[in-house]
Amino acid sequence: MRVDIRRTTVIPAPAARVWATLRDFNGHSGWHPAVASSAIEDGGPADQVGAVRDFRLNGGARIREQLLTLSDRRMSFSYCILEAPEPLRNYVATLRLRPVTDVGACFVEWRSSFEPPESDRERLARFVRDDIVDAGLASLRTQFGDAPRAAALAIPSAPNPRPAATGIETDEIVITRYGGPEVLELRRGRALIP
Amino acid sequence: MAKTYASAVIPAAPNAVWALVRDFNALPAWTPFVAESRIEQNRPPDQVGCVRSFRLKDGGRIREQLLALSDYEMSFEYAILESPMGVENYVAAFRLIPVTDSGHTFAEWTAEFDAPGREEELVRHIGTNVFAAGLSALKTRFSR
Repeated sequence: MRVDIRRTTVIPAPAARVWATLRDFNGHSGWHPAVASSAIEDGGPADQVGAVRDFRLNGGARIREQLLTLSDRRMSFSYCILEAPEPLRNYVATLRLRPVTDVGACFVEWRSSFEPPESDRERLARFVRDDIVDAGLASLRTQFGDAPRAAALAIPSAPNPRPAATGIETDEIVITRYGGPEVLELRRGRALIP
Repeated sequence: MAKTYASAVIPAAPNAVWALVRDFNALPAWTPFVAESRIEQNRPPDQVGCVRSFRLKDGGRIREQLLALSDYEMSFEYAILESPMGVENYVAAFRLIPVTDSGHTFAEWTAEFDAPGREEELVRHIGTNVFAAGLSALKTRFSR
């Protein structure tokens, strides 16, 4: 079942200024606390629709995302995940800014949706909502002048690890990559004792 | 084609704001500039296609037709059929969006219209005296 996340906030800065930061598809390492480094593949421009950003989270996880739409008129862009170490299948996200005209502020909407395996649904939904979307919005608020709120202080790194396996050691076949051709790998693992 | 836009954050839950503004006949209840309003042909105010006929406090009469209403998106659209402003092809949209981190409501009000030679003046007039004034009244009402 698809997970839909929609989070919004108000940033105390003109929308045009926030947009100047956000429209750079390769600029997220400058404002998102979870992103350690990022590069556009093949050295292309970051505002070319179809561009792919290849980046690492603080914990080392590598993610590739492709720019699907970019609109300066709507102040919005959307992207999908091509490759990630977690099963964030069919992941599409959209960010959109709107001016708050009476006080010269900026309303930000961030929507993400994806299809996780049922067994990982809660963990991945929480990861995307808390560590990607909420953490990103909190960081934008701080950068553009708001005092940090308590929830913004936890710096996320990577999805919470799966609980440590118990049981007996055995061979297992696991999927180790998602988004592109999945890779089946034979390795030593543990099986639960029934 | 001219376009005007105004927006604000209302310090109240989206449901509470929507319950007030979704009533197409409720302009006298929440705007500072409408004296009285009725729905023509005694239709329900949430029947898409219904026409509201209202009188401004300065005496002008305006007729507007409901083009779309969405409880899911918390939005509605309407067109001006008759007004003293001399605008053509006037279509406006009103929309609420939840501000999830504060529980408040982002409200935006926008219109597109033609008025050859007077567009700049009307963009300012509608944006300030109608949309911004209406949103400001909502803010005040829900700040109490």
